[in-house]
Amino acid sequence: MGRRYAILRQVIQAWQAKDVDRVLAHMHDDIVWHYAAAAQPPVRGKVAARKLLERFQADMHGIEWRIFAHSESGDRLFIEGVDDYRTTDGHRVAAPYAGVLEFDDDLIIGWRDYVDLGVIAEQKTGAPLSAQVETLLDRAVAP
Amino acid sequence: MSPLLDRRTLLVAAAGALTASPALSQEKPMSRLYATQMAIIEAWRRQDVEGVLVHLTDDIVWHNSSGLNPAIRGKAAMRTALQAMAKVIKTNKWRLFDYAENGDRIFVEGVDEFWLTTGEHVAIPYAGVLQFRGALVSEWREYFDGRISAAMKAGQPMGPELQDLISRPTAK
Repeated sequence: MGRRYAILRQVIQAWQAKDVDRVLAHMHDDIVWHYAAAAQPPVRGKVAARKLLERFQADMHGIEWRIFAHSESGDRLFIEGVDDYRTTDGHRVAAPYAGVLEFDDDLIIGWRDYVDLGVIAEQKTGAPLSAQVETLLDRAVAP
Repeated sequence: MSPLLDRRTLLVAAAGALTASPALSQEKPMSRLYATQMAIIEAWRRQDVEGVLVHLTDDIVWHNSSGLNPAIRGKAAMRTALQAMAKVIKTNKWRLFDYAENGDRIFVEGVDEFWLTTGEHVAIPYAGVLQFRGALVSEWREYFDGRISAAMKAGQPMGPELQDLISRPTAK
């Protein structure tokens, strides 16, 4: 397991435990976080990242954030996975995505997730996962 | 209109169809998978559909919409989609900002930027994964928010955040 991927796994474990402080411990003070690259402006800085995490946390339950594949190059970690959870209303959201994390030493300073917010919006209405989403999710989790 | 020709598919393919003029952000030797990815990009820049297809397996699966639409399956379907796009794209500037390889996969981050024959300018930042079987790409998955391209087609200008995303040095 690569060094950067090991850090991401710690982030995932912290997020699934809803431990915002432990997630933030892996972020640089100057992080630029595109949680929906190009679709939404990025969050800049740890204070703003905390607010975003706390907002997300309020409507995310039974989080099963999974990574299917990953690769490292220099200070960057490339990932492909799914953000899978239930909303407070009980609707399942499972958004396939790919992302890139940039590190400054062991801290995440750049984070860009590419995802279709239209897919998420449809799922949040209670629509079942589409066949094409199910196809993208039907993969083994990376070790 | 054929499902293969809807706006989203068009934009996605076009997005996938761009060029990558090598510049550089990271110095690393060109690997086998990256060389193939670059050959695909260069072929599409010439709108050479067969030049793209020669790098794909006959049973290629192209997930080109982050799960919004069904995948395009098989070389024949992909040829139809690419030919349709080539007809309406005037020029493209598909380029990669960075990449990494792991076994038979290459991960890329880039932008599908193109100009339609009708004048619209579209830029879709994306991340993707190409999975190889031998020397050929057997599965191609691209992730992005397709509503961005729809907004640009409707005449919305690129915002500064998007400009920032696509103004990065090109991979080498």
